[in-house]
Amino acid sequence: MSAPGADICLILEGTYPFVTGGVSAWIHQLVGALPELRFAIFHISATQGETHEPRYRLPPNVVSLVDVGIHGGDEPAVSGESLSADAWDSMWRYHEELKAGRSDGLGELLHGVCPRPGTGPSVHDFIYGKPSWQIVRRLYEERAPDISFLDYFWTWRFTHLPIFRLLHAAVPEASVYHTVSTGWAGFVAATQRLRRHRPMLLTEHGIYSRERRMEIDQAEWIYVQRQAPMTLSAGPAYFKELWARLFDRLSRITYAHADRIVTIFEGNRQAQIRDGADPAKTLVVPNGVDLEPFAALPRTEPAPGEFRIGFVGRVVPIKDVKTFIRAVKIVTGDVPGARAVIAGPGDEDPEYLAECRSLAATLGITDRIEFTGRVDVKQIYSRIDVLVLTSISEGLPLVILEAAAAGVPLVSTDVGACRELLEGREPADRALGASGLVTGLADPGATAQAIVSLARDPGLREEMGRAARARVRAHYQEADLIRRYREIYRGLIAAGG
Amino acid sequence: MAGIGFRLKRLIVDGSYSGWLRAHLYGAVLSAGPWLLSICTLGTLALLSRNLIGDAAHARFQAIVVYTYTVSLITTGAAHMVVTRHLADELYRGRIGALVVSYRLTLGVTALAHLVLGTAFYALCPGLEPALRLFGVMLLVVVSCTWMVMIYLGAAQDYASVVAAFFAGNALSLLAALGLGRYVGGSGYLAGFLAGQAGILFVLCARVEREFTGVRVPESVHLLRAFGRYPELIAAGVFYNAAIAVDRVIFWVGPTGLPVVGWFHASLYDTPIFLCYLSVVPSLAIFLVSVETDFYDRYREYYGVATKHGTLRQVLDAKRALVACLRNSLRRLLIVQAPLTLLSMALAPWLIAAIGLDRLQLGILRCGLVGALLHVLCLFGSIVLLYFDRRRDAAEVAAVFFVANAALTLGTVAVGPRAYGLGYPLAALLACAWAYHRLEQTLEDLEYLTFAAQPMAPEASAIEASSASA
Repeated sequence: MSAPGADICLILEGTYPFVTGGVSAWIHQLVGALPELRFAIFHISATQGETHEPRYRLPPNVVSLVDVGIHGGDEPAVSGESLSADAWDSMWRYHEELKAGRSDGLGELLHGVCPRPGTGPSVHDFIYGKPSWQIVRRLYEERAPDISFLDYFWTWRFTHLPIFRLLHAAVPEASVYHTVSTGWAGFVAATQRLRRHRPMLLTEHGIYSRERRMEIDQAEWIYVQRQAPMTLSAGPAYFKELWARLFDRLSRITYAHADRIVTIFEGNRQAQIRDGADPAKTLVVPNGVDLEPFAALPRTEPAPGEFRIGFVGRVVPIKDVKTFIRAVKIVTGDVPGARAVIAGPGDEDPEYLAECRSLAATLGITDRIEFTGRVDVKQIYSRIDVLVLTSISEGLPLVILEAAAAGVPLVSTDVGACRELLEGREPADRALGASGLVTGLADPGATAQAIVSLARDPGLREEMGRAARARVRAHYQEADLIRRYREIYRGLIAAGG
Repeated sequence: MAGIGFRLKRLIVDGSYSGWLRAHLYGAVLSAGPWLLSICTLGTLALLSRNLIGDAAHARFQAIVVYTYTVSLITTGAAHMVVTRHLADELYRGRIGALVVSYRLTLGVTALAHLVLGTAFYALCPGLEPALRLFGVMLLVVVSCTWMVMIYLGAAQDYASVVAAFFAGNALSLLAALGLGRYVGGSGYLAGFLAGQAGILFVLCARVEREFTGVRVPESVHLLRAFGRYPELIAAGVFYNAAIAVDRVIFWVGPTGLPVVGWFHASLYDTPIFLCYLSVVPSLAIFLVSVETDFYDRYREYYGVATKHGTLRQVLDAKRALVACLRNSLRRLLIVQAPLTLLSMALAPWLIAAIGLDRLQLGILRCGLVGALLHVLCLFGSIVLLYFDRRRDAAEVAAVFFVANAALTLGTVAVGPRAYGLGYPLAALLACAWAYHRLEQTLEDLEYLTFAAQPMAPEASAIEASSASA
């Protein structure tokens, strides 16, 4: 407990306090609710040399904020310490270990190469120096000798510049290092764990390596060899594979060195274990909501024969709003009084919003669907009879917790934590009963069918609404989340002290 | 240099055997032409006019011309390489308009600076008649400006008219000097020479301006930025031009100097050394042609493979071809030049007797012939270094040449007549060794330099820069 400055150093990547979003809101909530702990924030931004304005008012227990850019810019020609041939060779050996599936050799490597920021070769030495060049060349010659060397080399540079910069970054002193993703942030947390011998905590909301892999698959800036060489070492998408492999290995390194690995629902925990996390270190701490504002909402009853369907969320492709609109069209055939509201901002992807509007027009249901834009969602929960989620990817969506707290029955695609949220995770949880119906992805018929069955059965709605409230009260309260993290932090501080 | 290289290649590929010879001729003229032509003119004048204006007047005339060329080469040396690089960069970017501005700026600054320098010098130098002072200042301005205009002729790519201008100009110099010398005396002699050189400058300027007519001038011109970006090129230019003058200067100001008039000196060293320079004209031509054509093809192949997604094995193959081509060029150069130098050394006594030099100058001539051969090899190495953007190495070579030539020439002057002339070949040998040591290292590390030494920031991507210098 003698660490000066901070109890907890949060290591964050592209999020709080500079970017708004679900994870940022979660961090803001957590830090604000633990005023007795002092937090330092080490934030990793994409680009070097940019200044960012915090988008949140930092709680008073945030004692320091450091922002480090990892891509872009050049390195000043500063020479660091020279290393023995054996130390350079240890870098080669480390790559061989990683290839063989071992992720625990980072401590030894750091000790020999860069035990503290400012020691060992400088970032400039790493990027421009001949010993690094020899290693890259050897990696290329042994692993991918038939691929474009220019692209191999620059892929190496782009992927490793962040690593070298982060090795030399000054991370605040703290009793516990808490990273809220794997990737670069996870790597920094691992280096702190190894250099300072302080406990390390990982919370992963979405599975980082998978999210990156999806981005990389769609990236157009990564070179794809047009004439694929007919070799085993490299397919045309080799450079995409290199990037994906980098993030996969950063995740494995993070899992290997974290003392506790937390995620927000069971499915993610299983994914982490598949990616190399030790099951004994993993646990699930779901997100939570403050029940009272939602529980106290007055319900407005529908007009006779009316059935009100709600969609709450940003109008973006990942939410698959079009499937929702098609489902509403089908529902109107069976339930004449059905009306729908799409509540959420459309400014993030105006083109998609326009497509959704024109789809509604094409289907002839513009009079049945209201696009509200950005609204206070509490107003929505009090005047809908079912909340529908058609997302193709989710973590643990807050809208489900909020709607459930308001006693609204649910229809959701089977993504992320949604099935757990609707049907229960553990036996006791399951015993509370289902709080909604789970459907397949991108299946308007299935979504419509679920909505219709709720529309035709007021008793089922009543029952599911009740189960929803009970489940949120039992497992998804904000107070529980705070309590769990307070316990985890205390345990780790005690273990590290 | 890009433009010249393409043009020469076209001459060789498209033309017949006579085209090939023409390419060599242009090559020689472009690399060292103006200087050598002027030496020829001076030599011819010396042979034809000994009895025309009297020995003293002729010595004054010759000293003024030699000083003018020597000084102007050093003073323009600082700008020469940087402006050459600037020109290549802008041509590579297709910004010909920027050259219009930088061309006029370069010319204006050069003229003004040499006007000031010349006026100060000739105002203070004692013992000259007013007309000689006036023409002396004008000659300095004209010759300095000619060096700078030569750079921009790369944009015009019209070598026939350039060569014609030089021959016509020097013929005019010759005739006007003889004519005016006969009727007006020493100052008329200089005025005639000046008229021919000014004619060359005028034709060259007109040729460049014609190239620039109708070109839209962009808002930004990066000439000054080029000076800031390439300090090594400034150093290389100054040191190189100082290196090739310093031995003559030492012979002028030392005990070996023969006072001509005022601050002007001559020495027994001058004439043999000028003859030596003439002996390497064939090398300069071969060198220029092989660098700008054979070598340039391999060079482009190498960078093409490196930048167009080749495998490392392909890059290394291209490098081997490049190195082999360099060796080949060097061998070809030696095959022609070495026998020529040996022949010149053998014929030296006869030559000395024919133009009335003394026995002491025979030793200087023989040393100088070896020196000039090594000098050309050194130049070859330096220019290849510049092709690989090793600006610092090129500056080092020039600095070594300068320091060695100064120190060794001082040493030989101190030792006495038996050692006269040894400084230059020894200095050239040292510079040559340095250049090939650096070149060896560069080629050894070429793939490392090609990839790993490139800056991270994209705007400074030196793969682009090295193509630009090509």
